[in-house]
Amino acid sequence: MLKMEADKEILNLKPITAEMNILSRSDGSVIITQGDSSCIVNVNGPTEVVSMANMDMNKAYMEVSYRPRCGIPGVNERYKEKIIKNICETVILTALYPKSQINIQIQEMDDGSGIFACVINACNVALLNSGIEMRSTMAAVHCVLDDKDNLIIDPIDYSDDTPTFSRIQKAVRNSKYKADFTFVFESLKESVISVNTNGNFTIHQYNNAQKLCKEASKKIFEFYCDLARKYANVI
Amino acid sequence: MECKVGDVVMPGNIIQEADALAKESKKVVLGNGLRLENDSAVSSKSGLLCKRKNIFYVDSYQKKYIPAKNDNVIGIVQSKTLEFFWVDISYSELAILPYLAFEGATKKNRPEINVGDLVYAKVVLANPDLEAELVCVDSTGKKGKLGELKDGLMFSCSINLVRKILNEKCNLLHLLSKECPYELVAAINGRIWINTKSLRATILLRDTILEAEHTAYNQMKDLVDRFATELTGIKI
Amino acid sequence: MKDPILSNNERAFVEKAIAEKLRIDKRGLNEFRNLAIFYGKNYGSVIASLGETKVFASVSCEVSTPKTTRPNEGTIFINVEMGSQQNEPCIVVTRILERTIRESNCIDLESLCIVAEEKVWNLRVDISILNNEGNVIDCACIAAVSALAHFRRPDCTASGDGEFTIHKSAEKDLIPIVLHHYPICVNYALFEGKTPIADPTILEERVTNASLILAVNAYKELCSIHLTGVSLTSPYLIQKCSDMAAERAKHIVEYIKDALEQDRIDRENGQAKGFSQSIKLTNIPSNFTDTQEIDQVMDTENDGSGELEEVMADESFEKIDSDTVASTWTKEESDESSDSDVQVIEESPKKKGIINVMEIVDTSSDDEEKETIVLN
Repeated sequence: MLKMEADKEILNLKPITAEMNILSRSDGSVIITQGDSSCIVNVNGPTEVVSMANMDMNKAYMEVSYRPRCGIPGVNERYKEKIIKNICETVILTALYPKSQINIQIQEMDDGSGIFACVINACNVALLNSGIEMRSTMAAVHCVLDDKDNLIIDPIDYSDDTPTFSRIQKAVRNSKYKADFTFVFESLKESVISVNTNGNFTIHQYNNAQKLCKEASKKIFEFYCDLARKYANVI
Repeated sequence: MECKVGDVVMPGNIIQEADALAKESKKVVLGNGLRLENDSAVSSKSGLLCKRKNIFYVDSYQKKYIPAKNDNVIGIVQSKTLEFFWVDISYSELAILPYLAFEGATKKNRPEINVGDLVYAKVVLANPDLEAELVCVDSTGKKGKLGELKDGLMFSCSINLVRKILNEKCNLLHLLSKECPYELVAAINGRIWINTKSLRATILLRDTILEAEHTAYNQMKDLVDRFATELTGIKI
Repeated sequence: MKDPILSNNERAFVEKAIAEKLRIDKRGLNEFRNLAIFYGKNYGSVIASLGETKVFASVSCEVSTPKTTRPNEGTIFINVEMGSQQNEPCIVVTRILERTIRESNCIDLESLCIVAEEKVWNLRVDISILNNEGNVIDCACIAAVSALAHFRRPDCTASGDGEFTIHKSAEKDLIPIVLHHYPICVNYALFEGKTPIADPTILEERVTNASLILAVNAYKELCSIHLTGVSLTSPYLIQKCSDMAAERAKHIVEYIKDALEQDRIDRENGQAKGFSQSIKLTNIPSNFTDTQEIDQVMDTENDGSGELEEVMADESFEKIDSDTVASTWTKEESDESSDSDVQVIEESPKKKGIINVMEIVDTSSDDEEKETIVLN
């Protein structure tokens, strides 16, 4: 069971760095590094709907493409695309852009632990940069449950010389934890808009993980504000 | 979350000041990046909250142009049909420019504009459900400054840059005009067209204007000085 | 995303400018944009940027069976991705890179053999074109070569009877790929078949379709040559270009080696920063003035909060159903827009907020009072 007293160390997030508007030909783009994970996300839109089957008269169609660091995108990537599409649709005011398409392209660069949380945060910053109207912002936090049933927020488990295989999945890397969670919060009511979990855990552990992540997500929202503030001074 | 004018707002922040004004039954106009939700003004973009008279808006960074009525835009003629041109105004859809929307144009007398030419036009119809419609005449049927843009160089930039150089506080264009005569059209769809007497001056002018995006208003003079020294050929 | 058609004005301007030996970004005809290479935390991942053109490359390996024609050689596979639905240019870039890297035999494929006729290492280079501001091929080639040079594969020992073990990095050090030489693509856009332009921007590429791509290594050996588009070319021109390309390739190879060395030192000292270092530097050396980098580091190391107990225990989380929400917002939306429309019409001088600010000031006033300054 989680001991609350020990939380001082637990609540440390990995350092986040971000730079907006790095790609000149995208409407919104960001490179973000979060500890041992990093990715580039670019947003284009609203643009023409490419396939007529996706045309929606009431709202924008979202297309997400997720490119892994290496190898061909597979089922895992499709799954992530689907989740990101869903959560982006909840935060974007898609109804403002009927008959159009919003494209989000994600390129994974360093796939450390918590890469999925990193990607979601990057999507949020790229959307802010693109000026697409949004209902709220969102922040994702990664959290794991180790063998001794301790919850660790945003762990770093990067070893300098991990070889890169084309097809072998990262199952090995995550196996040293009992479970891992990725929570996504939105900024208005700070409610959970998406949860992604792996492994075995009790409902109590889950609730604790959610509490911890919610606390940590505030830091990420602060980070967004700081970023926007710095940016506003430049333009 | 408390948001004052001059602060940076994030999507979802409630603008109390606008609500308070509205409660005093004064008319409040919500501009770019603000929307009405549950009877209160809520931001939907991240940027600086600004206010002029009773108009509130968010000054956010944007590259993508969304057409709005009465905007003046630079378009590239993409194709022709029997009745109108299809014009690219860097929006997701092409805009319509009817042949009759030119000065002195009749059914027989069509404007001489080809595919690939640039036109400076005004948006008269902007609706997310319809194609935007452009005209090259004003309400009295005169072309004024609108119409085809010949020669010169057109380049794309962020919408913020266009707003910046057209802002009254920005004296860049005025300062530049003292160094070198030029023609310039800055259209709000993120396209700028410039023409000077020499190619070299045009290239330097383009560079200077792009550089202005990250130059503070009070440093424009230095920027123009650099432009002048480069133009005269004395390299530092 | 589809680019709008090239305007006649831009085309005419570029052609006239090139005829006067001028380029739109103030470069000389044989001048290149600034190059930067950043290595990631993983071996074999690289971001290369040439001006504003940015390419990400990553190398990976796997064990597979060799081709029957070459039983004792590993294989290399190159894959190029470019945004969405842009297939044709991707394939062109892939083919040129294959010709440059695979056909020039710069990789010692025999060293990738584990057990002859049974198991070999298969290398895969994934190239993702992040931003295309012209001359993708140069940038992609530099990214691919530096990623290959940076990559480490696990060591392998075969034990006679066809059995072999792949050692973990803790047991045996990872080993680099053997590269005999670094082939570098140098792209020249040809104007009127006689004026070669180094490192063309996207505008220049669109104006002239003709280009000459030479792959040269640091020893000034020509590895491949690729001529596209319609252009009259003389042997003399190709000779001239290949001389210039050889100079360029030499510089780039030195640059790549320096970057590799720097990365090695950083890793030895345990200071490999990965891509976060690129964040501060990406735009600074660029010729374009897009220095809009905002870098900012969030360090939350010394503020943890101990009052977690007070955080509400009865967390009820809700999943917003995107569909229902979207439909309700549609309604509000139409209300609001009709509202604001009325306002705009009623109070035309006020218009809508910022639109006023960005209203067009036509500067042809400058035009009318054109001063007669003679340009030097």
